[in-house]
This record gives sequence, C-alpha cells and structure tokens, in this order.
Amino acid sequence: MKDKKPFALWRTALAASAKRFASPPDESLEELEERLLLADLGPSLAADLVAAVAADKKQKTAKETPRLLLLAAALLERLHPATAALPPPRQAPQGTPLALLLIGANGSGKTTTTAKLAQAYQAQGASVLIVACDTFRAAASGQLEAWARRLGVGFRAAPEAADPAALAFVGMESAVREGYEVVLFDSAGRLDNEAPLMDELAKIKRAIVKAANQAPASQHLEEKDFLTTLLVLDATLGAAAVAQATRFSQAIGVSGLVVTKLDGTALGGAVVRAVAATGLPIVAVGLGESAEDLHPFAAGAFVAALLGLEGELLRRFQEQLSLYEQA
Amino acid sequence: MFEQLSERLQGGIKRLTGRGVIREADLDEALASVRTALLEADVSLAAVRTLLDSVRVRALGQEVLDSVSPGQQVVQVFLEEIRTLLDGDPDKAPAPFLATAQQTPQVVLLVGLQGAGKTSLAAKLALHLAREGKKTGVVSLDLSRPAAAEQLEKSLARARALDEKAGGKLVYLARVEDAQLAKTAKAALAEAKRESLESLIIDTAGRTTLAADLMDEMRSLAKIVSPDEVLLVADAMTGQDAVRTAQGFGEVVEISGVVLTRADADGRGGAALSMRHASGQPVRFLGVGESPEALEVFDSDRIARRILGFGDLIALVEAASRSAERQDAEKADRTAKRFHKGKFDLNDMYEQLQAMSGGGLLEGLLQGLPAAVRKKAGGMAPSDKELGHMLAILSSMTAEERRRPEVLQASRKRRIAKGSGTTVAEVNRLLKKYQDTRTVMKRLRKSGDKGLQGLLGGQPAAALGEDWQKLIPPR
Repeated sequence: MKDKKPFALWRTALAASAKRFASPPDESLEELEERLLLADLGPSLAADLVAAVAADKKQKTAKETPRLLLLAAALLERLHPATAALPPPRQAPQGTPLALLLIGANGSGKTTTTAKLAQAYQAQGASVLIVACDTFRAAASGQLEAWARRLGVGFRAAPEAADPAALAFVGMESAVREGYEVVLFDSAGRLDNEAPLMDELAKIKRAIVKAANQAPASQHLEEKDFLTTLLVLDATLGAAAVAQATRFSQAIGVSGLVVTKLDGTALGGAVVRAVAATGLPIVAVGLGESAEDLHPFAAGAFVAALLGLEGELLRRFQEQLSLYEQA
Repeated sequence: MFEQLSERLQGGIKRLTGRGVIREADLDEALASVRTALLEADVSLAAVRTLLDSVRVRALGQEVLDSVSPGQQVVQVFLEEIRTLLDGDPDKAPAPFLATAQQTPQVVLLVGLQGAGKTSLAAKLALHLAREGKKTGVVSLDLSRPAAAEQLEKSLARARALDEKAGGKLVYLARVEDAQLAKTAKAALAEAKRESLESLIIDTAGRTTLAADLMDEMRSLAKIVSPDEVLLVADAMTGQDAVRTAQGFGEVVEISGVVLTRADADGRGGAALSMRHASGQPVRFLGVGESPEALEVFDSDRIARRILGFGDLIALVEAASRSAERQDAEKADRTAKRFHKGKFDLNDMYEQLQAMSGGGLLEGLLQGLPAAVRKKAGGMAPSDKELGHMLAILSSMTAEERRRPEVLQASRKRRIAKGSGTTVAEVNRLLKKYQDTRTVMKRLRKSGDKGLQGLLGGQPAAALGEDWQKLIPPR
C-alpha cells in the first residue's frame, strides 16, 4: 500500500475513464485550496496538496483528469498508510486479555467510544470488561455503568476522586483473574498542555502493565504485547488536532486514533494533519450516538466526503477506488 | 490561547514596520502572511476575508501620520477591525447578558454539539449568576446521554461546596422522568416558579445540526421554555466547522450569545472570531478550566489586543501590583497613579529598577509588551549585572535629566558614561529600552476610543485608584 506505483496506475485509469464520464468544468487551484481550507486541512498542507495537483496536471496522462479527482487521489495517497484495523481480542487461555486504553481531550467522546468498542468486541463473541478510570468528571462512571448494563458487559469503577491508576491496576487484575478477553479503560479528559495530567496517564499505563504481569502465566509482558492506547480526536477540531496527536504520543505513546463526530457537519480534515504529523493510523470512526455507530476508517469515503465529491465525479472516483482496491 | 496567533500576526505585520510609506505591494505581501497566520489559528475563511478586505481598504486609504510609522498604522487598523469583528456593529451593540430578560425566572437555554461542554458550563454559569445574587436553578433536559442529569447534579454540588455563600442560592431541579421532552420541560418550568427562582439554566442534549429530528426537538423545546438567552456552547479549539455549527443552530433557534469552552487549551483562539462572524452574536463567556469557578466574562478589547500582540495591559497592571506590594506604599501609589495616566519617565524607571529584586514593575511592564518590541529591546528582563549598570547610569544622571530625557545630548551622555563607569553605547541602550517602553505605553493609551479605561474593564480611573489602594497591604 505504501508503494507509490499503484497510484501511478490509478492516475492512468482515471485518464482512461475520462471519455465515459461527463465532467463538470474543471476547478481552479484556488477553488481546490478553498475546499481544503474549509475542511480544516490548514494553509500549509492545503498549499502542498494544491502544488501536487498542479504538478500532476502537467503530466500527459492526467491532462484530461479533473483537478478535483487528482486532489482526491493525492489525499488518498497520504491517508492510505494511515489505515489500520482494531487489534483482535486475545484468547482467554493465553492468560492476558487485550487491553485498550482510551485517552483524549475533554468532550472528545472517550466514554461513548468505550461503550461502542465494548459493543464491537462483544459482537465478535469476546467477553468484555469496562474499567471506568475517569474518576474526575462528575458522573462519568454513572454514564459508563448505564452503558455496561445496557450492553451486558463487565464493569468496574471506583468512588469519585479515587486514584485512576489504582483502579486501572485492580481492573486489569480482575480482568486476568476472571478470564475476560478484552478490557477497556476509559480515562478522564485532559488538555494536552497539562503536564501533570499527562504523567497521570503514564502512571495508569504502568499500572496496567504491572497488573498484567501479576498473573503467574504471563511474566515479562510488555506494553506492546497486549495494550493498545487509542487517542480519541473530535472531528470538529482545528489545529488543536495536530497538537493533541503530537503531544499525547510524545508524552505517553499512542497506538492509533479514533475520530469521533464524523456524522456532523465537521469534515475532519485536521485529522489528516494529525496523521501527517505523527504517522499514527486511524483505527475507527464514530458516526453517531448509539453503540453500533463505530466503524472502520474508510479512506475513500472520508476523502469523498471531505472534498464534497458528488454526481459524476463521485461515481468516477468510486469506480476507480474499487479498481484500485482490487489491484 | 491567543498568544500563538499574536506571534504569527506580528511576523506578518513586521514587514511593514520600518517602511516610510505603505506601498500596495508591501501591504499585499504582509496581508498574505497574515492570512496564513489567521487560517492556522482556525479563523474561518469567511472571517479572514472580511477582516483582510476591510484592513486593506482602510490601510491604503489612510493618510500617513507623521507621528507613527505606516506599520504601526496598519497594526492599529488591524486592532480596530478585529475588535469590530468581535464586537459587531457598534450601533447595534448587544445589551449585557440577561439585561433585557423580562420574565421570572429568567431562562437561559444551553445548546451545542455533543461534548461541547454544556453540562460543565451550566454549573459554572449557575455559580456566576448566584454570585450576582440571583437564586439560580439548573435542570438537565438531556434525555439521551446516560447519566447526564447525574453529572449536572454533581457538578452543581461541587459549585456549592466551593462557595458557601453563593451556594445557598443554587438549586438543582430534579427533572420529572418522562419519555416526552415537552412534558419534562413544562414540569421543570413549573418547578422553577414554585422554587421562586430568579434564573433558570437549562442544559440540553448535544446534537449535530444534520440530525433533523434533534433539531426539530430543540426548536419545540425553545418554544416551550421561551428563553431570554440561548447560548451556543462550543469548543474553543473548533476549526472551520465553527461556521457550519453556528449557522446550523442559528437557523433553528435564535442564538443570543456564544460560549467558548476549553479556552485554557493552547489553541489559537480563531474560533472566537469565526463564531462571532458566523452567528452574528457576541461571545459572552470563556470556560477556562475544570473548576466550577473557571469562567471568564469575554472581553473583546482584551482579546483583540492579545491577538495582535499588544501585550496584555491587565496582566501588566497585575504584575505592577505585585511589585507594588514590595514597595513603600506611598511611593507605589504614586507610581501606580502615574502609570494610569500614561506617565513614565526615567525617574520612574530608576525607582522600578531599584525595587526590582526578581520582578518589579519594569519586568512586569516588559512582559506585557508586544513580542516584537520585547525582542527588539533584546533580553528585556535584565541580568543582575545589567541591572547594576542600568542603575549606575541612572544614578549618574541629574533628577532633571531623568525627568526630561530629551535633554541628553552627546556631551551629557559622555559625562554619564564616565560617571557610571560604562560606555555611551550602554547609555544609549538604556535610553532605547526606555523609549520602547514609553512608545508602547503611549500607543496603548491612545489607541481605540475606549483607551486605557476600556482596557481595564471599563472601570473609571478614580475607582481604579481605590483598587490600587486595596492592592497595597497596609503597613
């Protein structure tokens, strides 16, 4: 996927399809830039992409291809390496369950995403335990408890203002003891400029790893063996998406991104900047409030929505996308 | 959250400073880099266009004044335009928050996207109103998010615990559990009347503007509760979506103000401009932390200045007050008064330097200066050695020279250098520092119709004088 060759193919295919589709008048580079800016791609990435399109357009094979489609291809090229699936649940007999820790800014949607992940793993037949490590926000555990009851999954919480790392330790311990296959840790929202709160997250991680190593069968487990840390990013964010992705991964290490609220008017282009800055993959997107509204990240659909492709252009894009994915 | 924007803007405008006249090409170049800075700060594309167009027209049409450089003039125009953008049409200035409310209780409806921070804000706003002396209730009409009401109840309890006096005026209204929102809303209003509340804050479920059913629900809810204020609550870190969100909500309910939450993040604050521009309504409050007290009344003047990097005169005055505590009360009072009148001569500087042991007025003053000026003056907070030299230079001057530095000609400077064991270059450096400080102080005072008073939160100077007395502990 990271190979550039398929995209050369893609461009040729786009050109070849030109005769079969009626194209609207080609957009100017300024219009392309405007689309990108309105989608929160930011001035510098927008300029890069527009320059790439301008260069592509000069190639013989792309002469007849509308600039907007070239832009879609260029965006996709940047996003494809950034797709990844959620890790599979660990089998109970091996001892250690798969652990997922959700982190992010206040209001980004960690708690709801935790519930959605519980539903997703449960739908695969895995046994799931939720540990409500947000001991700060008023009634955060009440919110998760209601979800856990609704979904019928295991649930652990501690009184408000309790040490979240201590709860994480106990939660991981009981997940191992009780043979859960997946354990989900929600955490309190925090802004990326709050250093003490970042340290608290690192402590939670250490507690989880330590607890996992308590089990006699699973000595010397490292974080990467079983713990996935997901940063939850709100699609409505602007430049802060980049700051959050950079700082959270520098401070405590992040395995992947979950983009929430993509069902609204936000186009989520700032996430592309976050991906460009960190190289982190997007593992899931949130598209609504119910437990089933978590989906794998589909780069093609994301790009089409971000650029507002419609009509003939959209059909052409989709056709090429499926051809490309077969290749 | 505004510091980064201000630095970027200054970079753009700096190209214009030091030029004799504003040439169109120079201006365009400066505006292009300002455009990038604004976009990077998440200001909406539409607001950026409005701002740059008006700055361009005004900057080119303006006569160049003798007293200021063209660059300074452009900065001034920018400041005014940003303030205009934040304040809206001065002829249609909005009444203060809740000032026009007729009914009892006054009703404030909070609306916004999921996770915008409505529930936390409800508790903060309740505390704010209770501190104004109003018996204030909150009710959660969020029937969709699990434990939303429980969160509001607990947040209010935290607010109550924080401030016993105001806490007595805070009431949590338990909602009637009914699947129908309309019935729950009516019951809450009736309960608010029974409790003889003066204000009622209604928290609602988060919703995206694309969900037609939820928008309809909000429309009918607004009809039932007929709010005096509808506050759109939004994350200060919002990007370009600010426009779509503001318009989406504005089409369905009559937004009367905006609240930006998480303004304590390192975001760049562009959302303040975007929201104002797109909603046509004033930003009323900023959420600045997790505590129930972490609410600031939005002050466009202060923000506009910070965006442009004029430094923050209020922070500066605060710094001054801290240094004042360390000084002789009478002297500090005099300095403070002079400072408020915009007077600052070398005698003042001398006094401040003398008082300066790890942070006097001067240091505060320098901190409050625009980044560009600070840089120009080079490492403004002087080291101990520099401080010693500066004091030596100043003490080698006569009181008259310190009062009227303009009399310092070459021969006097040579005498002072000799007397203080320094060089004429060092004397000049000190004078430069003094001039930079003074220039900015003057500009701060002159700029804008509201001037210094406006900057200080609209308090009349006399009242400020009293505040100053309070700031200084009695001996």
